[in-house]
Amino acid sequence: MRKIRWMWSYKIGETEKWLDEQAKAGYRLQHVNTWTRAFTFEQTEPSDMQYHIDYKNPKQEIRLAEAGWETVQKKGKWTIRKMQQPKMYPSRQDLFKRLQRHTILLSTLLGLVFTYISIMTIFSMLLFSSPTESGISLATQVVMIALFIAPAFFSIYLMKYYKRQEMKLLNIEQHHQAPTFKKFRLGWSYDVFGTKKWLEKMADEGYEAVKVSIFSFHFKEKSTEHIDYEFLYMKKADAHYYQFNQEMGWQHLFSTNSARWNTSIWSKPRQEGEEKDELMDVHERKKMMKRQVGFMTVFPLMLVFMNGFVFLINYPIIFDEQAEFSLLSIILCLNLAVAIAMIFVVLKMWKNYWGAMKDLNAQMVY
Amino acid sequence: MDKLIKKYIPMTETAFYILFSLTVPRHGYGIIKEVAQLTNGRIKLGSGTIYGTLSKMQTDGMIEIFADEERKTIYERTEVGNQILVREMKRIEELYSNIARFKGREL
Repeated sequence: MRKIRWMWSYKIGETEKWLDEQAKAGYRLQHVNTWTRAFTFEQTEPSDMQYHIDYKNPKQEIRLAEAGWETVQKKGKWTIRKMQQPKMYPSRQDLFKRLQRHTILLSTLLGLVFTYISIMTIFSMLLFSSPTESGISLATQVVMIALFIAPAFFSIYLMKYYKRQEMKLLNIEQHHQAPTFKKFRLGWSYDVFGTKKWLEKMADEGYEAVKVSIFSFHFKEKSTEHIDYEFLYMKKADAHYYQFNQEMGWQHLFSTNSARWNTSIWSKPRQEGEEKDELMDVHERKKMMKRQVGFMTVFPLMLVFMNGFVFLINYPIIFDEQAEFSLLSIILCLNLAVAIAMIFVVLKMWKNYWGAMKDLNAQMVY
Repeated sequence: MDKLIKKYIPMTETAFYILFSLTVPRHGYGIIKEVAQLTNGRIKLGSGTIYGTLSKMQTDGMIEIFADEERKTIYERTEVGNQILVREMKRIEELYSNIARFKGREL
């Protein structure tokens, strides 16, 4: 029997479960063709096998054989093993890195396609449209908009898909307790230092965050004396680190949907008298905060320059008394508003960053 | 191996106890408890310290990371890790025997 599974390598958990079920139904896996994605089975006695698909991970080979894993197939970077009632499993780190790599590659590609289409659209508009008649037919316009939107939607889908797979691979439990109320905090990711302080203040007032989204925090009455929060910021989510934190009693509240520049929020309840569990030392923390504030400044600053530039080269239009009030003047006002708002965002972030740094330095001196 | 010896010997006290505690494969939390017990509660390891040390040792092939039945991470010492540990223990033994010879004498 042959069966094709197209995306088998991106749904490892599901594929393994599927192989287990096939074995239970009496179909034993013979081999997998990683190019055609064809799984070949032979009919035998039903068995209670557990299959495991391993990627790279060369160092663990001997130890896994010792533990009783039997290799079904080893081809290229993929190894498929099986065992009855396994007590230990190989690490998923390399597999996780592969997923990350592919997501980054694909999203970069989509970004390029998106930029290319945008440029083409602008050019064709400049070429075809004349002030007297609209040179482009409605159908062309629709196609152009679709071409414009499709990669964007696909990117969003990809991010979501990646996040789901990531959580599965990382074995992250999202044990959400039922929140009692919700507070909006728009753009908190541009003020992580202030937000952390705010969460600590909320904890002092008796409320702990149980769920976080990009624009809101969900709270409930706290169940322990203290709640510690950590805002981690890494270039990439690290499989072992996530798992480790969770096993140390840190609860995962949030992480960004992106394979790159990963921000995550963790919380840990602490009893009175218990020591605070430090996820990093002061030096590491400072380094991390520096990277974070630097990275988070880039985007708002870009908005300041872009909007400010557009405003500066066009603002005479507003003050031109002969010109009528037009859409353009509204847009220009918006440009100015965005530029000013973003300046405030950056200033606030840096103010809170310096505040947090000062607190850390005070901690160091004692 | 020589490179590793240079890098790890002498070890910091926390690194030593982390490696030493892995006489049997343990979870991260198990390492904290074991080290606290070995030192009568004197050393309370924070997550950051353990993670930093373990990931460095993993890169150097001194420990390996697996998952148990509940898919929780287990840390296991490798043969390389054993060798480094034995070396370090010999060094400390020497230190100890020198101290023991001085016992009772005035400083």
